[in-house]
Amino acid sequence: MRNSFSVAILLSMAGILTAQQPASTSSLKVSLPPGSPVALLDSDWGQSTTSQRGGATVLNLNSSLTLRNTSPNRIRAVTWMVFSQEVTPGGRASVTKSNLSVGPGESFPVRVELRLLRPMGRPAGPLVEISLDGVLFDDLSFFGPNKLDSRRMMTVEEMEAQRDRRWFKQVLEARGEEALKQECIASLAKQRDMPGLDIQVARAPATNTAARTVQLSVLQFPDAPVEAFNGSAQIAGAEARQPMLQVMNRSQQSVRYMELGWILKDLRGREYLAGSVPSATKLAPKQKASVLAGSALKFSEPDGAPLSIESITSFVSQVEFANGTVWIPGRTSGSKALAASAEEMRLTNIYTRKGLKALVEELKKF
Amino acid sequence: MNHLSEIDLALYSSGDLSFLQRWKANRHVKSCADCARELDAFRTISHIAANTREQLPEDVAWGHLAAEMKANIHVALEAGKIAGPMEEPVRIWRPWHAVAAFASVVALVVSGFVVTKPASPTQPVSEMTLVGSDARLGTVSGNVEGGSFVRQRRFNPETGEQTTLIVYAQ
Repeated sequence: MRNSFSVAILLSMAGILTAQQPASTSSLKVSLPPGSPVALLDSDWGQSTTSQRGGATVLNLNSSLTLRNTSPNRIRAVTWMVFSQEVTPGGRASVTKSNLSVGPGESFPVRVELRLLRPMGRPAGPLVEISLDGVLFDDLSFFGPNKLDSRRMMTVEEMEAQRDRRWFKQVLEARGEEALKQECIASLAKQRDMPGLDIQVARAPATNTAARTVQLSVLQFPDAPVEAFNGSAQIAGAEARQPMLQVMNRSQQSVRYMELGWILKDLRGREYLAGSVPSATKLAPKQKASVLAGSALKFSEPDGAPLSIESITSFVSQVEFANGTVWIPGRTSGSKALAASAEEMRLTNIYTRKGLKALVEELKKF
Repeated sequence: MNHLSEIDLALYSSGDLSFLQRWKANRHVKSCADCARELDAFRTISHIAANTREQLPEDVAWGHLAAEMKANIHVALEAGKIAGPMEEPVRIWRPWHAVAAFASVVALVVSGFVVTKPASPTQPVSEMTLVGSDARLGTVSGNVEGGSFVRQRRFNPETGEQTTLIVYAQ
C-alpha cells in the first residue's frame, strides 16, 4: 500500500514529458545589484525547455551565464537567488557555486541546471528570475544582499577549503611527497569506505513501537565553542526518533546558528558519514539547551538500499556567532569524522588523474 | 540501451525494488547518465513528497469529510430513485460500484485538499531539482524549527567546483 502510494505520488508528480519547447528568453531574467563585483557578459538559455506534465509546467532550466570579476579580489563562491513566481507562493531557492578561483578581471562561466515544476497559468513577468545574492572572496570578505543567508554557507565552505588545502600543504612541507601521497590515499579510502547518506528531518511519530533506545556517542573537538553531550534516540530501522542532544555554549559570544554532523554505524559494522543537520537554536554565552527534540531523523542510502542503524555518533560541525563569524572543526584528532570538502576532493582528484607531481605543483600555487 | 521505466525508477528511488531488481537497476544507473539524472530527480521529489505528507495538519476533520462524502453519495442514490426505473431495468448500482464511487470521491476530495491547501509558513517549497552530470554528495531535507528546506549538493570532479541547491519556505 505504501509502495503504491509512493509510486502514485511520484508518477503523478513526474508524469510523462510531452512535447518540449525552448523556453522564451523573455521568460528568463538575470539581475545584478548596484555595485556588483561581477558583470554579466553573456547569458545563454539555449538549452532551456518547457513542457507540460499533467497540470503543471516543467521548466528544464539549462543556462550558462558568463561573468567577469570586476573586483580587485579573487572570487571563491557565488550564490544566485532563483525565483519562479508561482512555484509556490513565497517560494525561493538558491544555487551556490563554491570552490571557484576567479582572479580580478577574469571571466568565468556559471551553469545553472535546474528542473522546476510550476502550476499552469502564466503570471505577468518572467517565468524565472535569477539574481545575485552574494559573492565571497578569498579573504572571506563578502558582497551582496544576503537575503538567503548565503554568506554563512559560502564562508563555511571556503574555510573548509582553506583548512584542507593548508593541511595538505603542511603535510608536504613537514613530511615530504611520500607522506602527501599517503595522505591522498587515506583520503580517497575514506571517501570510498564511508559513503554519505541522505537525511530527512521529520516530525517524530506519536508512538515508538519496535524502537530501542540508544545513547548517542558524542565526538568532541577541543576548540569547539559549543559542546554537545548527553544524547539519546529511539532507533527503528533507518530512523532515529526523538533524538535528544544537550548542547552548551562554552564561548563568551552568543551563538545564532549551528549544525550537527552525524556518523552512523549499521548492523554490518559499516560506517557512514551522514550530512549535517541545521539547528537554529540560539545560545547565549554559557547557556545550555536541547536540540532536535520532537523530531525524527530518517537516513537513507543514495542507492535506496535498506539501512539498519546500530549506533550513532554526533558532533557539532559548524557554529555561527551573533557577530557573523564562523567556527568549523580543525583537522586534528577526530578529523576522520569530517566529510571530505570540495577542495579535498579536488586535490585528491588531481592526484588520481594527474599524479603526485601535479598535486605538488597545484599546492605551490597557494 | 533499454532505459529503466519510470515505475522502476520510482521504486528504486524509494528502496522498494527486490534485491535482484535493485542490483540490476543499480548496474544500469551506473552506466546510464540519463537514468541517473532521472533517478536523482525522483529522489528529490520523494524528499519533497515525504515532507508534504509530514506537513498535513493534524486537525483535519477526516470524519466530517467522510460523512459529507457519504451523504453526497446517498443524495445521488436518492435522486436516482426519484427519477424512477428505466424502461429496460439495468442494475446500475451494484455494491462494488458504490464502493468504487465512494473511493473515487474520497480520493478526489483528499487530492483537492492537498492541492488547494494554501501555503503555510512551514510548507516545503516547490519542486526544484538540481540536475546535471556532477557527482551527487547528498541531500538533507525537512523542517527545522519553523523552516522547511531541501539542500542538495553536487561536485564536479573536472572543475573541482561544488554546486549547492537550497529550496526554502519563507
